[in-house]
Amino acid sequence: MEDYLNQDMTEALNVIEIPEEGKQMLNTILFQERSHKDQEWDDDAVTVIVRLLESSEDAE
Amino acid sequence: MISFKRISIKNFRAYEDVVIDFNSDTGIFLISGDNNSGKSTFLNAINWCLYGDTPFYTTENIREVANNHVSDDAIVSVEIFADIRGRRYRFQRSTRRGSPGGVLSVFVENDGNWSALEGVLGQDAVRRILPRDLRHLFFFNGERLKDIFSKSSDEHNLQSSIYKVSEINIIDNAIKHLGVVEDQYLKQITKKNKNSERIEKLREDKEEIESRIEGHTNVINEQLEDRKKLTNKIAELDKLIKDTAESRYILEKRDDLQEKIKDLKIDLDKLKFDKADAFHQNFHRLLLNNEFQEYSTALIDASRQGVIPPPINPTVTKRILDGGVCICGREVSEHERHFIENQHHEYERMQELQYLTDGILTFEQIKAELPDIGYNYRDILKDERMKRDEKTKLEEELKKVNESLEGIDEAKVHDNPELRRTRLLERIERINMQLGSDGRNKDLWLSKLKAVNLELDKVIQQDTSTLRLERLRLKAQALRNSLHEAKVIMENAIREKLQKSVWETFSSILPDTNFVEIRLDKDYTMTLMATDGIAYSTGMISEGTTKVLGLSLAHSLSKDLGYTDVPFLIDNLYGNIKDTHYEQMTKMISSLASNKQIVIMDLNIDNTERGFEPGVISQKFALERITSENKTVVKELSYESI
Repeated sequence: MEDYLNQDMTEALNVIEIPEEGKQMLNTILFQERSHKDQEWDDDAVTVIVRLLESSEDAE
Repeated sequence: MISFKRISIKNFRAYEDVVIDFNSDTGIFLISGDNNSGKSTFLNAINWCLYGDTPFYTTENIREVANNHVSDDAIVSVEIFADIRGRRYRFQRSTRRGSPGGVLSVFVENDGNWSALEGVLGQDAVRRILPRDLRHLFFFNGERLKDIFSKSSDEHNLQSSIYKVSEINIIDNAIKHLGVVEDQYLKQITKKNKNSERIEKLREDKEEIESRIEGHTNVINEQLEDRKKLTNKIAELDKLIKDTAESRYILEKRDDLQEKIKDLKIDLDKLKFDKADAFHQNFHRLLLNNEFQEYSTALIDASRQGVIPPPINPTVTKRILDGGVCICGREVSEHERHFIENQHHEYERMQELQYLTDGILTFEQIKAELPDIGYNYRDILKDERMKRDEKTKLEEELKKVNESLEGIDEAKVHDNPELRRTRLLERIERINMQLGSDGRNKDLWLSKLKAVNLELDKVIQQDTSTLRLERLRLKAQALRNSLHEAKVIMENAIREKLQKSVWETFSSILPDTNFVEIRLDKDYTMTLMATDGIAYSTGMISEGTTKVLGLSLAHSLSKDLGYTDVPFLIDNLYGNIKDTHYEQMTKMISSLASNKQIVIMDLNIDNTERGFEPGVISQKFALERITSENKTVVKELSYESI
């Protein structure tokens, strides 16, 4: 349970067809969700996702 | 490895004071007793200590945790000593009657000393044993397994459990959060679009205002141009007025002279008649007064002046001729007689002319007017002379004026430039008034334009790039869709793995079963396929089979999802199990117990019949350890105090 994501999740992400950048973003999002699964996290999750998307957009 | 080391229960429900030691990290522990002997209470005590509630009472609304026989001040407590992956923890929840929630204290052992884990750290230690939302898969009542398969139970149904165990709910949370992000971008885009509409509207307003301002400006410019033209015309008129002033004076003088001459002519014409009248009257007076000498003189004067003497009253002349004397008695001379005779004949001749018959005064009339008649004749003559002289003088003056008027455009002089100038000034005044009105209107529209420009700047400033927002939204949407896809893939894989795993466990417990396959459908209902091809839902199978299925599921989930070392606490496992299945069930449990603690709470049972080799079993309550190796039950604790 100390893994980055659980095995089934990692395998599922590997199967889907998505650009590498998107896959990395999904890994980051899911990792954050998993890290905060036992906390009140909704608002912060949205903030994290927005930052992730916008930093990716700005980097392009 | 996670294992219970000791459970100490004080004043909790049926218990007064009991300490149960687990002397091994693995193996089967049997707590047996009659109904209402406290088996379920043991399971509830563990749940209460770790999670603060008692979900395993079959009767609803049992919340009070204090023993009925202790005082209200008595401390109710459950204490669990557990080893969690190499470290020892102590969980202690305590309360008093009336406060069923109690307070949890968590400690960890460090070099023989206990350190308190406050707040989140304490909760984290509980989660290390088993997260609250998974406990029903590991701590369960065999008779309530149907709850797990029921979709009506929000917390404990299979889908919910699998989502939590497999962390699909994490994907769901990520999908939900991406959806919120998408919505946020959409709102911004919508707001932006509203801004666009607002900008469009403001631009239209601006266009309209600028058009109006342009209209006013054009009108004002035209008016200014008109005013300029009128001003120029006035200047021209001023020059004309100045230039023609002398001519107009001369013309006025001429007109005045002509007027005066005309009046004099009229006067003179009138005087002619007056003079004639006076002249005639004078003759009459002279005759009537026998002033023949004066009469003769007057006649000579009249002759000189070309004035026809008035006819003499025939009565008078006849009397003079007949009597030879004048009416005054003087004797008429031959010369006078001859003259009067001629006059008389003349009169008689003239009398034939009708027009002369009227106006001849009768003698009586003449007599009546005698005192005044004829006396103003000289005055008339004098007046006539004066007027004639004046007329002559004026005519000479007029002649000179006419000479000075040669070369002057009389029509132009008579164009009345002053009137035109006045009218032009009136027009300029009207233009000025209109200019004031149009100027105010223009100022109004200019202020509106300023306001619109300010608003436009503000709205445009608020506007961010729609394209950027749309790209971000689409990215969030793409990620969300990918997660949906990943979730489906993950669920399919988990379902496939789980149904295979469950079937393996299930069929190992029930090798002679008539079922050939267990299916886990997309809605997470389980279906058992029988050899005859009939599909059985979980609601159609026996309680015993359901228990086997539940145990198989718990085993599979713990095995496949990384909870292999978490103890099972199972209440009422063996009830309604077919005798023929006991052995397989026990084999299965024994197999699982090689890696974890399995605590089974059940009725006093004939362990021989159920595959165990029983030791001493209390009529009331006993905790026994069943060695998996030799299938013997070794009594570890006997508690008969309740």
